[in-house]
Amino acid sequence: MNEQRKLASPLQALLILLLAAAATAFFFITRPDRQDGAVAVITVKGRVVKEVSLSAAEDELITLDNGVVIEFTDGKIGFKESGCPDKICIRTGMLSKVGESAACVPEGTVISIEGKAPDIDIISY
Amino acid sequence: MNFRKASALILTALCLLLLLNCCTVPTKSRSYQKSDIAMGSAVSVKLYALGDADTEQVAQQMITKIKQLDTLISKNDENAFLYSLNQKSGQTLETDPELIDYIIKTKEVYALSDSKLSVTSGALTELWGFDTDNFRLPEEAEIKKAIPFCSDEGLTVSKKNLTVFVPEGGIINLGSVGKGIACDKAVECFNYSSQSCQGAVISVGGSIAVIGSHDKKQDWTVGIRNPFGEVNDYFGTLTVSGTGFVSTSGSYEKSFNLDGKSYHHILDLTTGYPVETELVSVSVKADSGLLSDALSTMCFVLGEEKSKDILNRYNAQAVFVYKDKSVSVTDGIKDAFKIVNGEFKPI
Amino acid sequence: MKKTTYKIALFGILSAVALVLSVLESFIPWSGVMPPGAKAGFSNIATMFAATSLGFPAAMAITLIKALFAGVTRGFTAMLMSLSGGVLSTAVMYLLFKHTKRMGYMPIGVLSAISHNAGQLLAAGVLVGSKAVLGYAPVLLISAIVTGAVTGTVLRAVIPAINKTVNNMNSYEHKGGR
Repeated sequence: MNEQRKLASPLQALLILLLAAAATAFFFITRPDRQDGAVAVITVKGRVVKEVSLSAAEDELITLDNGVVIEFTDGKIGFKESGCPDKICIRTGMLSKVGESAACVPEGTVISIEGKAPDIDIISY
Repeated sequence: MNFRKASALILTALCLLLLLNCCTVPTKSRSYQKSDIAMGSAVSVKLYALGDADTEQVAQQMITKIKQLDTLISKNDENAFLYSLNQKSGQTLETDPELIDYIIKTKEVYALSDSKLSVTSGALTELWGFDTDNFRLPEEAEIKKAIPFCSDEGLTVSKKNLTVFVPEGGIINLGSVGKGIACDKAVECFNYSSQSCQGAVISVGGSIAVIGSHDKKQDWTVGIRNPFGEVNDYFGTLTVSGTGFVSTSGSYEKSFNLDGKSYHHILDLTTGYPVETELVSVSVKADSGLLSDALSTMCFVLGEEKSKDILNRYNAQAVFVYKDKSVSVTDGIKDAFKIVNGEFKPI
Repeated sequence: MKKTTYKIALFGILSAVALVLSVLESFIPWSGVMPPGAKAGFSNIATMFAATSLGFPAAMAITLIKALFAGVTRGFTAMLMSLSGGVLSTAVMYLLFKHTKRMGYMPIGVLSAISHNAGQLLAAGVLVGSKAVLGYAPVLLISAIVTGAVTGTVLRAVIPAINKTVNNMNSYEHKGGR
């Protein structure tokens, strides 16, 4: 029975190509924008431990309680040191755009860039 | 079951889902805002839509509806249904079914106020001049005389016969729920519109309705006015998802000073005088504008302790602000409410 | 050769192959080629082969061995991530192999790779307590499609060859028995 199974029928190949195209489009569309007043939110195990305004002038080296070191330079922020084995977090690089995030799963640490708090829609008085 | 087809279907669905994602993400919604004056207060509506929905048309319809409401529930407009009802107190009169509905609903809520509030509150509110903005401090004898006319006990409303009986001398006053009813009207207008808008924000003199969503966000952020600041100054924000109604009652709205004493417009009908309370404002989020309006007034009058059960009963939430700038919120909005002004302290 | 003996031997070989592939994979300097967080998933070839030839329990067992191995070499988090991705993708690939006839190796490879990444992302989200990890989703999706297509193709090439060898062995034995 296994011998009858093909690699892919033309239709299936087409669907995979379509899926790949859609995924690529998805990737480009969801690519974040640079935005004024963006804030980097650092969370450890879901709790916000620090917020850094990306428009802040001074560079900063942040050492968290769990030993993770986060670097902030030139309006960009990213993992610098971490005790995790894969260093995926460090390889993610520097973040500067709203919507971007880097995660160090073993240390439970996430940096995500969020837009500034939205203005209110209306006032009740 | 045919698993081949099923799996092919799953693959196709995945593709479609992704494509759909691509199509919906980049489109930004348009918005259209319109302001006007109706029911003696500033009205503003803001509509959000994708595609070619005619937001201007819907906004116009909403404002027209709100203006029409004036001719139904205004106590002072000579052409209004309510005006003529009040003129002929002591008789059973047939009237508009919508007006009957508003009277019944409001009466039902105020029945929980220990007689401190009523639909038939006109005798006292007219005495103080809060309806016409000609404030004055009435004589004690005048107040004593007016109190009996402010009870809803004699008010008889029949939904079946579409009739209302206002006891002689009684004056129905829907002023405390009028703005909320206007919000309900606007929301109705939005829901039945042929134009498919995404969402809307409506303000009728500070009573708020939000509907649907806007841009990529599902939540609306409603600012709660700083009772000690200007009109457009807010001390906290309340996040509302989807459709919701928020009204605020505060002693700052209408008040006057005389001989060093301040008198505000929210009367306790059992004493005939403005409510004595440590509260400065109460904001209520409820399922309809009428409810949020009525409940915010009632919470202000009854105080936090006595309000809790009533709020629960109507599935409503409230923010209580005290004179010392301490703030208390009901459990249901603990997460949705945020203080943004450092002078205010949560309890 | 007896069927059970053959199965046990094959299971051992596949487990070893899976581990070797995942170790080899970690030696390749992916930075620059693959986005952070994404893996080639070569060891999936072994799991997929197990799913087709040995059935669900064996495939799952290899997945568990892989997760344990990740736990020993790269820590607890790596084990949980490997487990969540592995279990989901093994389940998906097994169901597809069992219940479809015409779906080719490539789509199965792609779908199981996607579910592998989805499972991992889910676990990561739970572990860090933040949905911010979803930011990795688009990149992981693209890499899953590519690597899934590759593993599917490799498997298509390998399976007939192995089956042929096995058949030869069987017939050999048959003759020898006479």
